[in-house]
Amino acid sequence: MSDHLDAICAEYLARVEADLAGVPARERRQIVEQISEHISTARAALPEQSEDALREILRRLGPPEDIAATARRENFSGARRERSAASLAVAVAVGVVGLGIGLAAALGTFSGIVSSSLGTNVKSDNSTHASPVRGSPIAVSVPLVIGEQLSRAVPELTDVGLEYRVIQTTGTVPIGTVIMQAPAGGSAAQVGTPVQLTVVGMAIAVGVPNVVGKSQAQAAAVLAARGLVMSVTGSAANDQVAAGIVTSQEPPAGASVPSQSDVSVTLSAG
Amino acid sequence: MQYMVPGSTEKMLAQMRRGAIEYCVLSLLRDRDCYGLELARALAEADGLVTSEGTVYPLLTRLRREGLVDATWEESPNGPPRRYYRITPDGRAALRAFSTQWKRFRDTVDLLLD
Repeated sequence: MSDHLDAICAEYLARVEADLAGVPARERRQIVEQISEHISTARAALPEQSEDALREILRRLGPPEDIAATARRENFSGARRERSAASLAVAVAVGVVGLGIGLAAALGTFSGIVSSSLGTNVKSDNSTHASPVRGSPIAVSVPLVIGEQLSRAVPELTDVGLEYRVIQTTGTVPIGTVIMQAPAGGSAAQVGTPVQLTVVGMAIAVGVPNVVGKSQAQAAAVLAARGLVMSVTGSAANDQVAAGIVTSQEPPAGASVPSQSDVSVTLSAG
Repeated sequence: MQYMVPGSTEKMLAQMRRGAIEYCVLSLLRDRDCYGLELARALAEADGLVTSEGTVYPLLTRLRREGLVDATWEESPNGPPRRYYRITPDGRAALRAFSTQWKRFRDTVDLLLD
């Protein structure tokens, strides 16, 4: 019986979705989701699950073509233009925060993901960390956002109650494009789950040059020329090397790191 | 000329409510957050405001898009979790502006109709 009722709901939602053809994808998805929630909430309040009661819920929702006609009169595209600059700014800010977190947490991991070679080069070793937040039991369907710009992908995720993390990589597709997501689109996830988005390009990967053997000033200049920042972590007594010369560096020469990363050096104290 | 042909009352109402309904939604959210079913039922029960409950959702979608309303998930004591809609500061500002203009407009029309 319940399967039968579910099938009636699914059929109604499919008709709404079909009739919404021509409405932008994001709005279409939101409208269908909201109507799906409406039905679930109304069904939960029924004293008993009967086909008649369900048909009454759907009758009150109205014919799918009426909902679609209303949707077509709404000027979604105008609203989007107005807000796109702000959304983009938020997305970029988030990207920067994501970059900071990535660096602070695990520069090594980040280096593995960001490659200096041409073309898309992504390693998925740390891609899925979809731990639920707050022990929430609410499950939602993860939107598929691969191929979209980050500024569009982010509201699609947050609209259904998901969070997100941004990882950056290099690639041949335009900057800001999401090229990987975890969990995958269409899978079920609990509200509050962070979806990890791998996004092309706001950080440019650079190769770390060798600065061991150079003076502090030379090393700083060489690193700055590559878009890297030198930080001196300390000095150690060393009778082989003159005072003020770099004796070690981290990450080592040859590693790939995002532009503006720190390179830590140790100086000889003589 | 003197009478209304069938169907045109509906058309007239549709034109009148088009400009006002989003502010009715904002007004329902002025004092407390509501979930979708509540909003849809409240508007459908208010005479002539919406033709069916489902037509509220395209409107809510646009209001969210425009940042006049936002949505948060909350647990429900019975049944699935609910998405609650909340009016934003921009939404309140829009509602205040509309209320002022609406009263002037209504008074002007009333004056001419009487």
